[in-house]
Amino acid sequence: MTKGLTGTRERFQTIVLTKLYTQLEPKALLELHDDLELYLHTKDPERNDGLELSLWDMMFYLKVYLSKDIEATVIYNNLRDKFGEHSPNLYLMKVTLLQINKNDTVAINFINNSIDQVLEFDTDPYSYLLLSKRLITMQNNVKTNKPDDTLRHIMELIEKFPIDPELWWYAGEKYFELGLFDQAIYCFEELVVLMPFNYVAFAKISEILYLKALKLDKKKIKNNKELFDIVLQEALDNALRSVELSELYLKGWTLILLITKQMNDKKQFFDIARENLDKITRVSNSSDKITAEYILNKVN
Amino acid sequence: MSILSKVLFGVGIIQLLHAGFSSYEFHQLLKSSTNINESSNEQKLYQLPNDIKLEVFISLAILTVSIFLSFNKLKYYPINNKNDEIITEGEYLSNIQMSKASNVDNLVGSDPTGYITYLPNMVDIQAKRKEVAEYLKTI
Repeated sequence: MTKGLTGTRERFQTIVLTKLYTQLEPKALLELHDDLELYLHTKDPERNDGLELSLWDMMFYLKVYLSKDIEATVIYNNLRDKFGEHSPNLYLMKVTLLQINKNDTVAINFINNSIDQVLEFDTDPYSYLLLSKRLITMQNNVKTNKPDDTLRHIMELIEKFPIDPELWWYAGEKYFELGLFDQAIYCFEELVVLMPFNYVAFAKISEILYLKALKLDKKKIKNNKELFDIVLQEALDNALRSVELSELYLKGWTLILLITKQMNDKKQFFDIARENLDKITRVSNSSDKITAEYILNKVN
Repeated sequence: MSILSKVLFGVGIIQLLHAGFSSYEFHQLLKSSTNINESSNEQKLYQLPNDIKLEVFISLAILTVSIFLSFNKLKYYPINNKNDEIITEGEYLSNIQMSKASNVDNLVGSDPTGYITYLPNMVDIQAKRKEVAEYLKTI
């Protein structure tokens, strides 16, 4: 709380909007939970109702991650008393509580019943989408040895919600995990069609193409050199697009550095990437600075 | 707002008010004048004096400068590490060019499309709880 209320509020606002809390390490989660608890009990005149609700939603999940189940239930009960049960976020909270207080099977049954009896005929597609996503995640855990089932479920949901970017990202990640690079690239390209300025997705496509090229190189198939160059060039194009959209994007410049290192005729791009990584080591946040320094040391 | 900009802002406002008051006084004087000659040479005398016009322009210039001087350098708060130092690029206004505007996210360590790329709706709750519980045992 050393940066004043404005800085603290902006930090929480960014975390809640980007959903960063779903990806934090346990230590960072614990710190975030303590900070948020302190902030929510502080009177901030600039905190509007929308932000307040989003923060309580985040607090619920932080309590769940930290196994503070009773406190999470209290938050759910407060929100339910205010808004009723039939809201997308409250449906999800209820499923989460079923997962932690009972088990995944009970939660899966609840979702199936909700979809069959209400949501399939209701005019609330968002609740349907959110619950279906959670269902896929839980089914994925139950059937850990059958990735095909997960992909089939995702594709079925994508047919119903073809413009949901999170589903395309999830499908891309699943194909990537299976080593199916072309299918993964297709999914991320669909996402780029939906969000043409998503530089993170461009970098992801570049990353997969780069790995695909390396895999080609390792196989040493006859006439593979030409294909290797084509795939690398595609990877470079996507990485360049990502830094065209975001000038100091660490992953984008790292990919350019790595890709051009494999190409003989791109010395100029290699030097530019190195210059920009050097700039990141000077101006960016501490985490990016350390990463950029590490990459430069590895490459030099 | 720095002291210099506050002083300049005060001077600018006082000057503008003074010019307005002078203009009012001048018009009051014109209204009280009874012998208005219609000749073109005398009509010029009834126009607003140049010193009042000049005072308005100078006060507007001072006000503009004071407002520019009141801007502080933009500061950003890193989100991943709360003890991280506050970052500034030394700029007073936000960039409007996308490639530079998105730098703010890079500087604070935020992925603006995290609501998609982090797959927040597909988090494995049980695995997350297990990971945190194991960490809590170690502290």
